Amino acid sequence: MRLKRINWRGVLIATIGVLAAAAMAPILQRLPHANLSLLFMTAVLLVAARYGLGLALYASILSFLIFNFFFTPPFLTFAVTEEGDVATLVFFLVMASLTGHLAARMRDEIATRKTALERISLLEGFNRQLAGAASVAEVLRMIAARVSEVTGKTAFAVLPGAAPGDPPAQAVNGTDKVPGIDDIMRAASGDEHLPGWSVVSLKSHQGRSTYIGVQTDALDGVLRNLVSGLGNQAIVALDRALLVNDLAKQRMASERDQLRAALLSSVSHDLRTPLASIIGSASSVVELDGSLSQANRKALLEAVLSEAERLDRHIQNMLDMARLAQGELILTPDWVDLRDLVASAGRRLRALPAANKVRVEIEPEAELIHVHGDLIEQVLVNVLDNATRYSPEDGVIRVHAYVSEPWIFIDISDQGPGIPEADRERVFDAFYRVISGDKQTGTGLGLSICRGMIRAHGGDVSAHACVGGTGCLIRIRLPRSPRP
Amino acid sequence: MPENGAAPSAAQILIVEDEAHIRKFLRIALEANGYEVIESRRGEEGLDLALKHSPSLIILDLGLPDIDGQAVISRLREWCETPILVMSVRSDEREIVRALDSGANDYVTKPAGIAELLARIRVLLRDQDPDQSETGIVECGTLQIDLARRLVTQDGALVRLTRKEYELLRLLTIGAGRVLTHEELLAEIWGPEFARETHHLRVLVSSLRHKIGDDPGAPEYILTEKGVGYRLLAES
Repeated sequence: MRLKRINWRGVLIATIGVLAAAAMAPILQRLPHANLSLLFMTAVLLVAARYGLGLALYASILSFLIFNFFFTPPFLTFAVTEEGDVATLVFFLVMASLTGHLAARMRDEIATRKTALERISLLEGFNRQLAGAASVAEVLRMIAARVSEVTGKTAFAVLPGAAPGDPPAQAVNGTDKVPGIDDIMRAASGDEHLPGWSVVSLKSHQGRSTYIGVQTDALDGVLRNLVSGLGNQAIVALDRALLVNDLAKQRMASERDQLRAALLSSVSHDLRTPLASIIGSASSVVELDGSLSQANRKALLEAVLSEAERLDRHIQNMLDMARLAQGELILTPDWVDLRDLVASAGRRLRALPAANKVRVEIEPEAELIHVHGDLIEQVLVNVLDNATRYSPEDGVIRVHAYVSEPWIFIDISDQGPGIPEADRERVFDAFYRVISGDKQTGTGLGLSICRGMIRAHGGDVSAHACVGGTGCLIRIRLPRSPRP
Repeated sequence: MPENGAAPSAAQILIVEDEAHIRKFLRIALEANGYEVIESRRGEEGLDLALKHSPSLIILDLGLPDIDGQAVISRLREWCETPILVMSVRSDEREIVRALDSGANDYVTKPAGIAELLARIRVLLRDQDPDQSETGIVECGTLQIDLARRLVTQDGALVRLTRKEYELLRLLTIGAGRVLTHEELLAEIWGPEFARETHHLRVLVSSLRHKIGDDPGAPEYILTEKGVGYRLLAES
C-alpha cells in the first residue's frame, strides 16, 4: 500500500479532529453514554474519507484511548472494566477500516480520472501545437519542450540523419549537451546504459527512429507512458514535416533544371536572332546577285555588319557574365571622360539607333569619372541597346549625367512602354526575360550584367518610370571619387 | 524583273516579324523575286493588315512583342485560309508542331538561307493554284505517281506498294513539298485514334523508302523533319 511516507499533515489533522470530538464531548455529557462514542466515530469517518485507511486506524485508536481515558470508568485511566468498552474499540476499528478502505478506493478512482483527464488535455494541447509545426527542427523543439515540462527535467529529442554519417537533427530543452547519437542509439536498444539519461525510442512510418531523452536515471512507468504518448503523436507531425522537406527539395531541383533550360534557350535565342539576319542577308546577296540594286546590296551588307557586331556584343556579355559569376572581374579604375564613353557606346550601337535620336546632357562636374572604362562602356551599350529596342520608331533617348554628392548619377530614359512597377527589380534578374517568354528581343543578360559591373564599382543600377510621361528610366549611380 | 518565272502575277506577301533586319532582307529578297511585300512588327497590326489586304501568303514569326505567334495563327484561321509560313528561332519541335497543328502550313527555323525560304514560299503559293487536282500524274525525280489510276512507276517499272504505303506516298505527293506532321499522317492513314502512335509511321516510311530505293541518309524523295514530320522533295 501507499504508506511509504507518513503524511504528517494528515496525522495532525486526524489528531485535531479527534481532540475536537473529545472537546465537544463534555457539552454532550447529558446525552447517554453510548452516543459519545458516535461523536468519536464521526471524527474517525471524516478522517477515513479524507486520508485513507492508515490515518483512519490511527484516528480510531486515538479516539478509543481518549474515550477510554476520559469518558469511561474508571475515569482518567486506560483501564478497561466494562466489556462494552472493548466492543467500542472493536467497532471503532471495524468502522475505520471499512470506511477507510471505501474512501481510499474512491480517492484512487478520482485520482485516476483526474490524471487521465489531464493527460488527454495535455496530449490534445500538444497535438494542436504540433499541427502548426512545419519543419523537423520545430517538431523536435516542441517534443523536447513538452517532455521537459511534463517531467520537470531537461529533455532532448533527436532524429538521426537519413544516411549514416549525416548529422542528426536535434533539440534540447535546457542547457545540457545532448549525448552523442551513437550513445543514444545504444542506450535505446538496451545494450548500454547512458549515465544520467533515460531514453525512449519511437519508430516512425518511414522506418526512422526518433529518440527522446529525459535527464533522470529512472523514468517511472507512468511518466514513461506519458513520454511515449507525446512522442507517438509527435511522430505523425514529424513524418509530415519530413515529407514536406522532401517535396521542397524535389521542387528546388526541378526549378534549378528549369532555370538551366531557360538559360540555354535564352543563349540560343540571343545568338540565333542576329545569325538569322546575317545568314538571311548574306544569302540574299549571294542568291540574288544579278537582280539587286546597288542600294539594296549595300543595305543587306550593312545589316550583316551590324548584326555581326550585335552578335559580338552578346558573346561579350556572356563572357562578362561568366567572369562576374566566377569572380574573375578585376577592376583597374582610371580617370575617363564620360562623354568619350557615351560616344563610343553610341558608335558601337551605330546601326541600331538610326531612327532614334540620342540626346546627351552631361553636366560639367559629372564629366570626369574614376572607373574601369571598358566595363562602364559595356554598361552604357547594354542600357542604350535596351532603350532603342523598346523605343518607338522615332523616339528620343536621353542620357543625363549629374552629381548629387556623394554620387554621380547617369539617367538613361526612353519613350517606350516603360516597365510595370512590379517588374522593375526583376529586369535585373538574369532569367527575367526568359521567364516572361521570348517575346522581347535583345539579350536577357544585358541588364543583370550592368548591375554586376556597377556594383563592382560600389554603385548600383535601378529602373524607374520617366518623370512626366511614358517610358523607362534606368538610373546608374556611381561613387564620386575626389579629383586628382 | 521576276526571276525563275516564280511569280506570274505579283503575289502579295505579309511579313509579321519584329526584327528590323530580318524584315529588311526579306523585303529586298522577296521584291527582287517579284513579290509585293507588306510588313508589320506586331501581331495585332499583322492581323489588321491580313484583313485589309488579303495577302497570298503570310510569313509569321512566333516570337512577337505583343501577342504570341501561336495566337496569331489561331485567330487567322478563324476566318481565312491564307497559307502561313512560320519562321522561328525556336528549335523546340513542340512549338513547331503546335503551330502546324493549329493551322500553319509550313515552317522555317531561323537561321535559314534565303533559297530555302523562297522554295517554301513557292510550294505554298503553288498549293494555292486550283488547277492541280488529285487526278493528275505527278513526277518526282524518277518516280511517277498516277493519282487517278493509283499506280506508281519508277523508271517505267511498276512499284508494288501496299495500300498504306500508297496512301502515305499520295499524301506526301499532294502536300508537294509541304511538311506533313506525324499526327496529320497518322490520323489520315490509320485514323485519329492513332495520332500518337508514331512507331507505326516510322515502320511504314521505312518500308516505302526501301521500295522506292530512297536512302534516309541522303534522301531523294522523302525528307525527315526531325521531331515534326515528313515532306516530299518535290523541287525538280
